[in-house]
Amino acid sequence: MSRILAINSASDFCSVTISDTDTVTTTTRSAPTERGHGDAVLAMIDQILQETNYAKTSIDALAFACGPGAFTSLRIGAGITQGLAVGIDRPVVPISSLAMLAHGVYRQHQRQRTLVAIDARMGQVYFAAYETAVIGDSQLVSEVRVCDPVELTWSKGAWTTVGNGWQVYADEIPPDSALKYIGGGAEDSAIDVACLAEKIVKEGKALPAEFALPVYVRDRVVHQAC
Amino acid sequence: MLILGIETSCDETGLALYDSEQGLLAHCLHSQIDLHQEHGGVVPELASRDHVRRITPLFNEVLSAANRQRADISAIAYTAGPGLIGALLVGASFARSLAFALDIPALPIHHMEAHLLAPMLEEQAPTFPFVALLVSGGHTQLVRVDGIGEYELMGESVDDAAGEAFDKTAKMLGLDYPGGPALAKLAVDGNPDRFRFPRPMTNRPGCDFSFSGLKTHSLTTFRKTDGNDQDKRDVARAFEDAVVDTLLIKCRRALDATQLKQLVIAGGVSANHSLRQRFADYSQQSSVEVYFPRNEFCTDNGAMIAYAGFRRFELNPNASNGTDVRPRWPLSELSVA
Repeated sequence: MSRILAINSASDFCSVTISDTDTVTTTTRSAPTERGHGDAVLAMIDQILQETNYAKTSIDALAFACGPGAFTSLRIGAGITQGLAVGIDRPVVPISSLAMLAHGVYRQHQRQRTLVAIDARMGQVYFAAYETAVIGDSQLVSEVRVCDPVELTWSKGAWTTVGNGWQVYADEIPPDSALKYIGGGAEDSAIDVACLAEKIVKEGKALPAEFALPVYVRDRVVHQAC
Repeated sequence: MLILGIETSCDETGLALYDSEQGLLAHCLHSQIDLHQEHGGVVPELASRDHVRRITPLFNEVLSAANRQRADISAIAYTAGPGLIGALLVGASFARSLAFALDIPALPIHHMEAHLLAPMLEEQAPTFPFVALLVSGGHTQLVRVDGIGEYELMGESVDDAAGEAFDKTAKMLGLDYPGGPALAKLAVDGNPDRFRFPRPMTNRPGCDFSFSGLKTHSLTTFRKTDGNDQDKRDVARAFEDAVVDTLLIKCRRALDATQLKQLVIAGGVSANHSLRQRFADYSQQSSVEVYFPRNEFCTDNGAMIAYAGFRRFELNPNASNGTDVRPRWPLSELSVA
């Protein structure tokens, strides 16, 4: 039985969810991501705590979308998660931003096989394929890659696609009429962060606060000294 | 009252705990010098990546070193600017969410205000009003300080900061990053009489500085030599002497103009041995008292942020929960409360 506070700060929308496996409820706030959205995330956390009347210390674990995504946004999420986790002395669960979107497709559309592509800037996408057969468990069935859109490949078949990468690079991605595009998918994705974290918390695999770290995937960064 | 200070504005992650009764209890610092060395300067993305890895372990370390619990903390002070935006955001996100979790205020601190207050952490501390020379890799400013938040900019560099000129000149002499301290080490054995470099902008009124031309002058001079080790030492010595002299001339000018008798020198370059010696000599020969932070608090650190937070919190306990970070933030925009 667990109560999880989940945060996604690294997509077009940032969102916050409290899920409670006892009462089988989730409470969520979401807003388009803007500059300074660390403020918005903290305000949303405050709102849902007040709305649910949960004390901060009643939270059992903190989950967050750890990436890949925009580097600075990922670090805002990681920084907020570390600060909260240290403050209430609770463990953390990093959840892949790509798995989060794939899980959202299953949760909302009951489609199991999903290709996720999100804009990685610099003309590239972050990409991975997932299969989700039950709520709370999205299985990675490919590599997680950062690559040019023209290099994207997937096995034949009926895949659902999600993430802003499909839209941003629509002209460059190899066409496949069997694909069904769902959309950006990030609007209330903190729910999916919470769902995916539940199993990990239940298995006792949540981590100490300092492990709330971004997963960049793109490690080749511009090494320009200032 | 126990204040946690968090500094992440550039390439050092610093955390400290300051107690209103007992003073500084502990401070912990992780420097990223090794990380940036191969790139010849601070790489902002690498700096941000390192801050987010270090911040929680350093928090645990500083609590343990001070023998305190997180529930003992009364407020959290964090550097909100100026600095690298990505680096600032790591500290601000952590500080504000930790403050939120603990139901305590989060205080945004101006990095340069913290530097100029740093000598107040020492036993021999200045009292308001005083003139402050802020001299680092990013800033060279002369400021009249009448109290917390009462700052009048008297002069600043119109081009390179003094520390930046040190680093660039060092690079030109083939020294590794960060070159400033390495250049100072070379200068110790340099011949002070072989070259005499100009003291930029000292023949004009005012307290502004310019160090870009001095850097070029060093390069031109060095190219005319054989480029051997002694040539490097002599150029380094002439360069350092010119910078220190120029800083001293402008400080005297600011002290004359304000009629103040206390001078605070803070920021990374204030750790320079030759500079400290010259200003100590000046103090002995005049009625001016010169104050420095201890060496480890000349460069960025959490202790000065915690102390600035304490002084700000004393002034206005209700100023809390911060703001977005401000990568560019003139000191003169600060107010008392």
